[in-house]
Amino acid sequence: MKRDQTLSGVEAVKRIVETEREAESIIEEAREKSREIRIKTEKEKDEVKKKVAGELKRERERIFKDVEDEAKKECQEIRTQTEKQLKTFQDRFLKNKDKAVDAVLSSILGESGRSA
Amino acid sequence: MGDLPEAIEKLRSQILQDAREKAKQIIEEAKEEAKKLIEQTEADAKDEAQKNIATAKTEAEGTRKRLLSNETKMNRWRTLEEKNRLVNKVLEEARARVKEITETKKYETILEKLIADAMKALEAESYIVKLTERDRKRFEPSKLEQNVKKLLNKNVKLKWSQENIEALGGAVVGVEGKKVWLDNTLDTRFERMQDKLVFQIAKILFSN
Repeated sequence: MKRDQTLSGVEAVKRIVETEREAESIIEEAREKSREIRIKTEKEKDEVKKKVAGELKRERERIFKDVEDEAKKECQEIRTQTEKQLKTFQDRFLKNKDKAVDAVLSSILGESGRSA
Repeated sequence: MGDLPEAIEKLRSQILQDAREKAKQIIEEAKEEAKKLIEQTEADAKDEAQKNIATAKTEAEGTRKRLLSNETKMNRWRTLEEKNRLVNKVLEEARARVKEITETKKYETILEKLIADAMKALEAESYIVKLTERDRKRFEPSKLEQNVKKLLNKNVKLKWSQENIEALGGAVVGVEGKKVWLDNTLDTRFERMQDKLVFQIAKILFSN
């Protein structure tokens, strides 16, 4: 009876040791999985950064394009206004040219030169 | 002894359960850490992107202002250039008209006045008058002198220089015995009055 108990004790220790190895293996497996998660996370971080950078690039391009389009429109408006103004100058020139020439003659020749 | 395998089995189960729990905890922690890292990375990247976008907006606004400023300057320049062109056209036409007038009879009266004006400005008693060759040949000196004196309403001494001047018309008048000359040729009058004329023409042409 005593001998059986001793043998059972050895067997017990053996089984415990095996179990602890098994447990260690479970934990090691988890650690390995955890390492894989970290590696995968690094890749995901890069993807996130790339995604945000891509969105940022598109947003920057959109901002510059919008502003450029707006500026082009405003520049066109300025040019249109200028054309209008130049046309007004031309009209006024045709209307007032003789009066202006008379004024010059008057200044250069005196009043007598005006109606010559 | 009959209880020993059962106890061992219990202990074994406990060890394995503990290991599984620890393993689960390790994985959960790793997942949680990963989740936080991804969230943080995304937040940081977005934060950086926001700053970048704010900078881009400022840059774009700067570009817009520069484009508009250049366009405004260019168009202002076009406007000024056109005004100048039209003012110069008036001046050219006026010069041509002045030239035409010097061919008319009326020019004699104008010339007399130009001479008299120069004399008035010089305020002397004796004068020398230089004319263009054409005017010297065209007009009778005694008649010119008489009319000039009438305009001055004063009896002054007047000599006609034999030296010709190069001009459209008008006269160069000097004080006899002194090196004081007043150029009242039509050409010089144009030059002298240039600024005033430009202002005057622009006012007539472009004001409402």
